[in-house]
Formats: sequence, structure tokens, C-alpha cells
Amino acid sequence: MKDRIITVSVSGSGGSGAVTIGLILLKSIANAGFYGYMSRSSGPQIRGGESSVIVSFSDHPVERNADCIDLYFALDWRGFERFSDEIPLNSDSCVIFDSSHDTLPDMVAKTGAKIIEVDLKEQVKQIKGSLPNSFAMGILAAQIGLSLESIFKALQQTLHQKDEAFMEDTFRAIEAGYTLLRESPSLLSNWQPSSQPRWNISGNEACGLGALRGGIQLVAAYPITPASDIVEYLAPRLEKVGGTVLIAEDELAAMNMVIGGSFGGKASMTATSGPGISLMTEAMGLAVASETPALVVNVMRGGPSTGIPTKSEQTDLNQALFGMHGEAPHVVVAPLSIADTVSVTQWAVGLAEAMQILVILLSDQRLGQSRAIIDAVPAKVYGLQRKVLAEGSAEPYERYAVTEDSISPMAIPGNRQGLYTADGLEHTATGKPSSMASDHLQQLRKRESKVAQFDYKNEWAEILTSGKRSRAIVLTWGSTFGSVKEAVMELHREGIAVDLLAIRLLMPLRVDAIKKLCEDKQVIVVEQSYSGQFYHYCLGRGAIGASSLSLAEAGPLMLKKSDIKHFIKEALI
Amino acid sequence: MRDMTQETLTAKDYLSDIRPIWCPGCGHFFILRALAQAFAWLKLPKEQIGLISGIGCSSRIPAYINAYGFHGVHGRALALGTGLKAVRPDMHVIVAGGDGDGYSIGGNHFIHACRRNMDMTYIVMDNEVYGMTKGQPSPTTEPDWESKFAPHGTGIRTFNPLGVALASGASFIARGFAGDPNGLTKLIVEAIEHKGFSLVEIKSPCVTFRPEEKEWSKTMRKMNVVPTDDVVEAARKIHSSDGLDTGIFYQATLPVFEPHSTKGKTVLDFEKEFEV
Ligand SMILES: Cc1ncc(C[n+]2csc(CCOP(=O)(O)OP(=O)(O)O)c2C)c(N)n1
Ligand code: SF4
Repeated sequence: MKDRIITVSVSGSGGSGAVTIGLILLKSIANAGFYGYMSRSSGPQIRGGESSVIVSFSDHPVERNADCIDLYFALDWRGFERFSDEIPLNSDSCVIFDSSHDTLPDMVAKTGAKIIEVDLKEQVKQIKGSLPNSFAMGILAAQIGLSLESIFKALQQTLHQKDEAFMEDTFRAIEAGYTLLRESPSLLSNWQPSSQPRWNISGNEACGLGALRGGIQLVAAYPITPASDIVEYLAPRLEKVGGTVLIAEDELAAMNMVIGGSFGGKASMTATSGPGISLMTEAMGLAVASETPALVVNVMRGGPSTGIPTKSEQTDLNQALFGMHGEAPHVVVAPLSIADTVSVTQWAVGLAEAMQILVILLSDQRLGQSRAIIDAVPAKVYGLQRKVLAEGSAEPYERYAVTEDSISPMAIPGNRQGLYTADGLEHTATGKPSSMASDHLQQLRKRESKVAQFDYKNEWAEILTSGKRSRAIVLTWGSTFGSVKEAVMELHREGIAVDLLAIRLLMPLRVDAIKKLCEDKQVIVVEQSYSGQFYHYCLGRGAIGASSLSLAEAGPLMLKKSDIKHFIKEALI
Repeated sequence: MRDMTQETLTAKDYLSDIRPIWCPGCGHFFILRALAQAFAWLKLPKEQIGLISGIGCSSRIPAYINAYGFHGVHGRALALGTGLKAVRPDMHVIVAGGDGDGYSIGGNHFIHACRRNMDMTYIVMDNEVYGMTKGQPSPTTEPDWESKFAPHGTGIRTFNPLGVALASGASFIARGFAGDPNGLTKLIVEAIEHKGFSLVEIKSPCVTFRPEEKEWSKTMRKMNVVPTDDVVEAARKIHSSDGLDTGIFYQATLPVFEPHSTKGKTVLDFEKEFEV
């Protein structure tokens, strides 16, 4: 394995257990001391549809799936054509399938992959009470070189089974599968197990944890794929740390509930996806105008309209940046990986609170619903807090007073000295509605300047330099970072000097800092959108020059490392 | 609920010094006054009042009251109030607005706020028209009322807020009249004191776009309704009323939604769940 990363995929029709195998594999890898990353894909069916998982693992942290599958197990071929393009096979791949009820599809034969047929029906007959996927699990474990102990342990952790006889049969079936194919090469030889404390966490859980760390006290939300997992993670936990989850009747309500909770003095957030954001947009403007802290998490999916609810795309960027009517300065941030999601969410809560502003966090289905074994993410101290009016202050209170940093102390209901009415109407410094040009200008300036002046520190971007004088720099954001980073590091290994700038703070864009980093370099902007939203944004803001190149591809397929690498190399010729 | 330990405040003390934008004679003035009277009678600490509204002439009311207020967006006041009450159960949350705000654009929130039956009060200042946008028909406008927006009338039957509230689970349902200050104050006091979601639907003449509503002072019956806690009886009363009866139609003790949050865990406990 050149880059010491192994990628295994399992697919099958509903109920075949493909996802469970993936989860157990990931846990076994963790138990063996390694790192892994699992993405999943399912068809449009609610239950019983085909599903597939891709698990990549290595002895160093991995935050994306490799371009090609090393080992693929088809529990059956039903519905395969619907996601075949997500399971890239080639002549280096090895395909194992259950030949007891299917024949090999032509499209798989054509890839030139090595094919191994197993008759799982025959196996199941030999161990009563066993299921085909247990044999598959054993076969895969042996092919990878994972020990039976690590599999058994993971199985117990995953299934929490009470039924001892069932577990017994399952163990026996896995064991039988383990020894079924003799020539099992261990792919793991000379890998170094890690002794670091590691986590098994999904991106949406990471977001939930970041919210808890940030001190969120209210979540109001309406269910939507692929964001609901965040709420489902938080619902049983937030209430145990004194917080509340409100089930809203729709997203219009959810966003307004968030504003109400925040007005009441508690850090509040919602989580949704594109269609929900469209409904929330009016109230998001209210958060901006009334200067009420609010965090909105958008786990992006394919659009427009209902689009592709179960799959990923980075196409709500324009909406996040420009979706509101009037001039509504706000903050847009995006995490770059699952681990990053923990910290960026915590940071986002802090920014909303400290700046009394709307913060939109852009995650996506790939980031949110993938699961990884990562190094534990230590809690950070951002020192970002809401500036509140002290009890007992004697001066007449002005809610929207113009201050040096343009952030005015917020009175929390209950404070006798701070009575005021928050307003989405343009207002004076005291909050009194006003349509006067001078008041409008004063408050516009105030709201704009608190965003412009704020010190976002080093969090605004991740910068990776080659250490040499680079001729090119790649700009990217969000989940695309995983593939871009791998591509750039491979180029470094090949001796090609390229820099990488991955932006977390999308709004306000750090134009001057970006310009400086891009100086005298060929700029390449990589993103997952058809129209190149990020490219046009950077270009429009003058952060990059007209000779910059755009590599923009629509979702839902992940941008491949090899394609990115090729594009960069071409650009350098 | 009336807190005798509080200093005595008069209705005036609850009025801010911002002059309402309302037309002279508008029914909303009387509601503002009655609200202040009710606060004074209950001796509510100003800083414990959260007066939440949407958009419309009526929804301007928070700025005119000396308390904590939020003038939000059109139709979403109940949601905003729900968020506030969820995190601040100690606050007296009063949501106020017009018939357009509450029954049309905010209709879904109205239904679900009734269902949730959280301990808050909803005051609807119903003038059977959209005042702020200058005279369009609202859900409570008669189907044959002609306007520029609907030259032949809407042709749509009127919305029955009390009936919808009852069917949706509100536990206090009353109709009041802006022209009966004493009765109205009493209704608002009882609504605030009621534990659960209380709806006070108030007929409030729009003298500018529905001058004929001035007649209400002659036709509305003052506090003639006898309260009941029986849903079927309340339904009969609500559906047989010609819309001119005032008083409490329904008041019952129903389960109140209160988020159950506890303390006792820390974020560190949850981080452990991820350890491999
Ligand atoms: C989303 C949205 N749509 C439309 C409007 C315009 N608008 C403002 S107030 C209003 C109706 C107000 O009527 P009502 O709630 O009955 O209050 P009133 O003015 O009669 O007191 C409308 C339609 C708006 N502000 N926002
Ligand atoms: S337009 Fe009608 S509702 Fe609005 S302030 Fe004037 S009288 Fe009152």
C-alpha cells in the first residue's frame, strides 16, 4: 500500500447488514489501534433500500475515502447500478460476492478487478442460526488481517446483544468466514498501532459535542435529512446539562424560537439543511437586525429544491452568504473535517455570543454523516462571551449604543436597569423604531463594523505550505479539504511545491490575508459545486486574481484526490 | 400570582414614553391601556415581563410598554415567545399581535402554541382587516367585504379563532372588546394568572379602514359569557355565538408543556462516550 490506506466497501439490499458490517469494521480497526473513516450511502428508500458503506483506514488519521476500493464485498447485487459510480473499482481491486443467488454483473467484470465467489447459502446451512453477513464479516476481517479478537470485541460493543445463543452462532459464523479463503494476505503488516486517545465519532455528533462545549442551552429544530442526527444526539444529552430541545412545528418556528431563547439570555441554535434554511431566512435577518446571537447549522445536501436529500454538495454557499434581504452583515464558518467540526462549532457558538450576531455554520452530508476514528479533540478556550449589561448600572440604557468595538452590552430580561424592546425595524441607539436616514446609517455602520473589526485570530483558515517556494496555491473549504489535502501532500512527496489554504471563515472573507498568501502564485480553487460559487465569491471580493483557475464539480460524488492532483499538475505546466 | 410585596405601580408606570403610531380612535389604544392596567393590578415586576409581537399596527405594542419586549417578524411572535418561555420559565411571556399576524401568516404557530399549552398569554387585537398594509381582508374579514385587494370580497368564510384554539388544545379561551376597558382588563388578568396557554381574542376597531366597526360599541355584549371547563359545552358556546359575546368561553386545567431539563452531567461525561 503506497499511501498506507486501505479502503473496503460493503453493499447490499436493505436488511442485508452492510452498514452494520461497516460499523463493526470501523470499531475493530479502532480496537487494533488504527484510524478509519466510514462514509455511507443509501438509496431513496426509507427502509429496505440498498445501502453501501466505504471504510478507509490507516495507521495515521484519515478524513476521506480513498479514490479506489481495495476490497469490495457485495452481499448481493440488487440495486448495485444505482450506486456503482460511488464504488470505484479498477484492476487493483478485489471483489468478493455471494454467488448463491446472483451472477457477476457485466459492469463489474469489465473493471478487471480480481473476483472471488463465495457461496454463503451453503455456509449458512452449516451453522444453524447464522446469517450470511456474519460470514462476510469474517471473510473481510481475514482479508484485511484484523484479528478475530478485535472483531469479537467490536461486535459486542456494537450489538449489545442479550441473546447469548445468537452471539454464539454469530461468533462461529465469523470464525468460519475467517478461515474460508486460505490465501489471506494481511494488509496491515508493519503498521504501527497508535497509543493516542482516540474517538469514534460522526460529523454530526462532532457538531453536537462542539455545541455542548460552546455552552448551547437551547436547540429548536424541525427534522430534515441529513441534519436530524445533530438534534438526535443533543436531545437526550442537552437536557442533562440544564438545556432544552424544542420540537418546532416548522423551520420558521425553529429560527424564531432560537431568537426567543437567545433574547432570554441563553446561547441558542438550530440545525437544518437547505430547504429549512430557505424557510428560516427571514428570521435570520431578524437575528442580524436585532443583534440577537444565533447559530444556524446547515448540513448541506444536493439542491436545488428537495434535490438529493441523502447526498452531499457544497452548493448552499451563495445562500449562506447572500440569502438575506437588505444588508445583513453576519458570519459564515465551515469546518474542514470531522475533528474540526467539534472545534469550529464551539467557536461558532462563541462568535455568535460575543458578536451578538447570526452565525451560519456550513457542514455537509459527507462531513455530517461520515464516521471516523480520530485523535481525541481537546476542548479549546476561545474566551468568547456575550457582553451583558451589569445589574444595577445607573446610566440610562441604550441597547444599540454605538461603542468602540460596535458591540453594545445586551440586557438580559430580569435585569431592572435594562428594559428595552428588541426590534427588526430599523431603530435608534435606544431601540426606538426609526426610518430616518441618519439612524439607518448609524446602525448599518455599527452592524457592519462589529463584523469587520472583530479579531478572528488564526482560526480563520488552515494553511499548509510546502516549505519551499511554491508556484501554486490551492484554495478550498469544507469537506473538500480532505481530498485536496491528500493531493497536495502527495505532490509534496513528489517534490512539487504547492501551498494549500483551506478557509474556515467564509464571511467576512479575509481578503487581504488571502491576497498576500496568493501573491505570485497560480491560484487554484477547488470546491464541490457545478457553477464554482466559491471561486466566483473569492474573485468578486478581489481576494484572487483573474488568472485563477477553478476546479468545480457538482455533487454528490466526492472530488477525487487523483483528479485534483492531475488538475494541479496541468496548471503548473 | 398577585405579589403584594411589590411596590405599588400604576398603569402609567408600565407605559413607555414612546408615542404610538396609531390613528386617533384606533381600538389598539384601549388594549394598550387595559394591558398596563392588568400589569399594575397583578403588580408584575417590569423586568419579568416579556412582551413579544410580530408585525402590524397592533404588533407595535411592545415599544409602548415599559418592560422587556421583542418586535419580531410578521407571524412568528408565538414561536419567539415559545423560545423565550422555554429557557426562562420565570418570565411572564405575553405575545400580542393582529388577526393577520396570528391567524393568517402565523396560523401554523397558533395551532401548535395551543397544542403545546405552555404557560403564556396570547393577545390578538382583531380588527378584521390588515391595518398596517392599508386595508386588505384578513382571515376574520367577512367574505363579502369589498376592498381594492378583493373587489368582490374574498368569497372565503371567516376563520374561527376560538374554535380552532379549542380544537388545538388551548386551556383558556376568551373574547374581549377594546371598548370595554374594565371587562378587558379583567380578562387579561385572568389570562395571565391562568396556568397554560391563554388566548384573549379582542375585537378592536380599525377606525381608518373599517369605520363601520365603530358600531361595535353598540353591538358587542359585555362579559356575558359564563366560563366552562367542559370542552363540548365550550364548543357549543363558541360555535353558537354570533361573535358579539365576550367573556371566558373555556378554562380548564390541562397538561402544560415544560421542558424537563436537569443538571447533573457535564460535557466531559458525554465525551467519554466517544472513546475507543
Ligand atoms: C413576510 C411579510 N409579508 C407581508 C408583510 C406585510 N404586512 C405587514 S403588517 C401586515 C398585516 C397586518 O395585519 P394584522 O396582523 O391584522 O395587524 P393590524 O395592522 O391590522 O393591527 C402585512 C401583511 C410583512 N411585513 N412581512
Ligand atoms: S390603520 Fe387601523 S389598525 Fe392601524 S392604527 Fe389605524 S385604525 Fe388602528
